[in-house]
Amino acid sequence: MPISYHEERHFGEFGGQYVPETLLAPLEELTEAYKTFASSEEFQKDFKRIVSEYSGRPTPLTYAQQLSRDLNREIYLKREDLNHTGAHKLNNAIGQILLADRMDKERIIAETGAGQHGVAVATVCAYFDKECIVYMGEKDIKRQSLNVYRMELLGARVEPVKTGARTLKDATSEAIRDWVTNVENTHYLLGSVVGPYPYPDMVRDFQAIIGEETKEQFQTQTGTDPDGLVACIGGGSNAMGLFAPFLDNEEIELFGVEAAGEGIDSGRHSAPLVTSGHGVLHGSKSYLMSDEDGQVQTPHSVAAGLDYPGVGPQLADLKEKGRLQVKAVKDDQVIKGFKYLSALEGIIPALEPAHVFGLLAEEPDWLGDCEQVVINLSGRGDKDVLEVAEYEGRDLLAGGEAE
Amino acid sequence: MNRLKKVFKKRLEAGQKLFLPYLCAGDPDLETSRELVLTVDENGADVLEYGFPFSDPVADGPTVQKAGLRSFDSGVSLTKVFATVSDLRSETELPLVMMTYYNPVLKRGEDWFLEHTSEAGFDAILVVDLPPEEGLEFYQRAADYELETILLATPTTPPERVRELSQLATGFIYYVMVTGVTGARTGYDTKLAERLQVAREACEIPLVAGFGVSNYEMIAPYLDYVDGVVTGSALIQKIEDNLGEPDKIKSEVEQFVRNLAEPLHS
Repeated sequence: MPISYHEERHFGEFGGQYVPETLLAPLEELTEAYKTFASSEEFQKDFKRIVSEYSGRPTPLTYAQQLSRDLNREIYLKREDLNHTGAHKLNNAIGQILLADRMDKERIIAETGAGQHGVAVATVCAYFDKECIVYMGEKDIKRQSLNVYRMELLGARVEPVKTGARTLKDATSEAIRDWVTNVENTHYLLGSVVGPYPYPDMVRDFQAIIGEETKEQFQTQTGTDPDGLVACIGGGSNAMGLFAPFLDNEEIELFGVEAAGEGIDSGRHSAPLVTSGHGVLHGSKSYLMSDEDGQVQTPHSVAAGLDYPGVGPQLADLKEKGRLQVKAVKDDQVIKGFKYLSALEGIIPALEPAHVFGLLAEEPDWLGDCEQVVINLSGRGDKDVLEVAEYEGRDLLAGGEAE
Repeated sequence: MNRLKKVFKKRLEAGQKLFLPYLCAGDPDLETSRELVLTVDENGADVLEYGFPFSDPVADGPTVQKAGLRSFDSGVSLTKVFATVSDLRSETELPLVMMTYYNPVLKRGEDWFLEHTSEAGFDAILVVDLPPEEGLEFYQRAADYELETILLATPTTPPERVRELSQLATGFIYYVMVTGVTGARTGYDTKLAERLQVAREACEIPLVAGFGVSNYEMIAPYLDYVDGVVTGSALIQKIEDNLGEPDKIKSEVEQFVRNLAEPLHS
């Protein structure tokens, strides 16, 4: 194939394959396998069977009565919190493990921040009897010890990453280094719609089952399509999964909520779409938090799953074209959102989707004229209960009030 | 003629191989790093790959990563590196390659970066994570700023692609001898010689090899197929092993460079 620019591997000016030469061959192999297998009838049949029999799909679409009254419009929740392992992450892990199996890769590596993707990968590796190595920043290992233990129970080896800021971005870099070195027998099971082509397309397509089910369920329940879709955005896989099947209908409005952390002005946030500097990290061009010399900044969010300085290139393109509206919400308001949905609907959300509820509780008018809105409830909040209690000054393990 | 082109012409016409060490700018600090440029020049280096560190260097192993961290700790910035190189140009004619990742380039703007790299006194540019598919215009525009371009090839690069890369690059092809990250190693894949030979035949410009080279003996079996040799991690290790002792660093680097340059030039 002569050297030329591949438009189809980009989203407008974003995406692409910004990788060292060594990675081009394995990415080509993956692209080939993805194109050959993933769309085949047999593969789709396997995928549908496993997400149903193992993972419990389809997840429900729940009409949220109290929330609807409070926000003065019809609100539906897509219940990814009821997916096996407690979040949408498993959808992509199942799709990619099926692909890895067809590529005869026996060794699976992954990066994780909060541990949700790591747990999903460890889960499918147990189910498919594959060797599993999860790279995780040393700092994240300390603050997410429960998920580290879960991964170990599932048979994975958690490899501490001691470089850089010792968080998700460093774990991702380390996973890429491993892949470059062991590509013969290894599949890199990337967890979000980031990275070089074909990852943003592939992860989106495996997550699109969220939007496909939503479309069908919404039709059944209301006889129409929703006019607004809302999701939290870290790397953006739950957002792209919900949005993807609706992109053709320009009348449907898309809303994304990023993490403002301690405030955009404080610099301690994870809101690359809101702060909108362009950049290249981990193989694709997108929006990225980096300083004037191009050094990537350390992100911050109370939700470890949003703690990433970049974002999926397709979301960058949707924002650039004016199709996606984005706002960021601060940690303290996220805690309010967490408690708000719990008390209102009897559903404890993960801190990641709690960003959406925190924002809407404060600014319901953001949804404008949208009358029928679907919010992606991307994960359940059990994992976050201790952290929220701690944020509020309560130490549950000590059995009383913290100092 | 550009300094880089000149030294390749001189060595290759004399039937010699080139030695191209890699150092990270600002490692272990800006002042020592500046002196090390002169040290490698005085002891036989033909070209210096002078790296501007990036926060997330996915192609680099632990040794180069740590060099980058030391450099950040010492307060390195693009402005300081350009100033250092510009200042060095009154003392040395050693050809310098700006080696970095793409985000520092993109953030400042491609033209800004090329212009300042050239004005500071660099002779060539190598952007590790900018394959020509994404950077065709960038690599073509480098010529407007009188910078030679360097592209990477690896054992998994098909010969036809090596040929195309060598038609796009103007300086040389940097052949990565391992499938992996930078870092000193003890040996190479048994198929390397064969693959290098194929690459050499396809390559229309000088080809230098690197990644994993820690001494002359390791590279000696492959010298028929390469025009030069790069070493990074093994050299940087000398800095790491002697932190806080600038004189020791200098003498160790001196010895290391000689040990490779002398047999390559003979």
